[in-house]
Amino acid sequence: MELILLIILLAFLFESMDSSSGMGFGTALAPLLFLLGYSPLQVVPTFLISETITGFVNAFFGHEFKNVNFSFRPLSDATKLALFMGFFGCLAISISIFLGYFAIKFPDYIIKTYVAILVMFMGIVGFLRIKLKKRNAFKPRPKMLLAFSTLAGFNKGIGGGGYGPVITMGQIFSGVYEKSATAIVSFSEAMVSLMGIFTFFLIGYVGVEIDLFLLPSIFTGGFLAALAAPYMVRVLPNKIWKYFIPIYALGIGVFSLLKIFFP
Amino acid sequence: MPNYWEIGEEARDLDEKTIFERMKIERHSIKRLAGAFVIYFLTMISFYFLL
Repeated sequence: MELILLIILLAFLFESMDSSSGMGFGTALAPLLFLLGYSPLQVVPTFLISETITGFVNAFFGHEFKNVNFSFRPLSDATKLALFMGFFGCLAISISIFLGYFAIKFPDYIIKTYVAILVMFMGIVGFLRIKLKKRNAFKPRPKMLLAFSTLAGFNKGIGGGGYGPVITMGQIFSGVYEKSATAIVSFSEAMVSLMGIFTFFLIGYVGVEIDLFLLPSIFTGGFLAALAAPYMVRVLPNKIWKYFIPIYALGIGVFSLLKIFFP
Repeated sequence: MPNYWEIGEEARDLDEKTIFERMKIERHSIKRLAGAFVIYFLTMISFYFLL
């Protein structure tokens, strides 16, 4: 087992951003690791294992630091929402992994461009929304939430990614408080990643070799960030997250688009 | 789904308080943070043997 300081620091940085804004760990860190010479089969299963643990830890401490209220008896609205979005995500990730590794390919270029533009658009709308709309900001819009969960699941299912940004921005548009939205995303992403691990191990049985060399380093950085980020979310005022989340989503959309045109 | 949901209610109440009050952590949270570190070390030990 080897711990690599650079990977720990990168994982800490991007998991902190992901845990506090609900997006970006996979989108931003995976290309960097590919640039450092690691292969998708070293990166993807490692991310899934690490994200499962850090997602649950982040959700737990999001509850502990009162950013959100998760309860199972009775089911709180936040738990219902996380389970609902987790279900769509689980369905999507199983489909995408099977399609990706068993030769059925969609035109990558078009799908990724569409998702990048969608994420950018959501970032811009999120930003404009703060400026234009002050009233009824937290009025629940469950139908809108259903639409965004389906859209995020569909995007991930066809291999376009962008699950975090679409689901986080979708929640905010549907009236969920920003600080709570990020914790709910972490919970549902942990469920989705758990499903991803099962699917990967299933593939492992039919001959795809999985390398977990990066796991201790990614896990170390991710775990520490999953403890620090909910505290940071608690301490900083919601006004900061209100601006930071759409701007970060816009940044991720631009970065994804640049990655497609300047690989 | 109701016309009102309680998501974020506690966080909104907490936001009404000053930053210094939000910085304070309760004793049970410190214990849970310590528990999380124990879980981290146990996981790393299991990685050491499994990987």
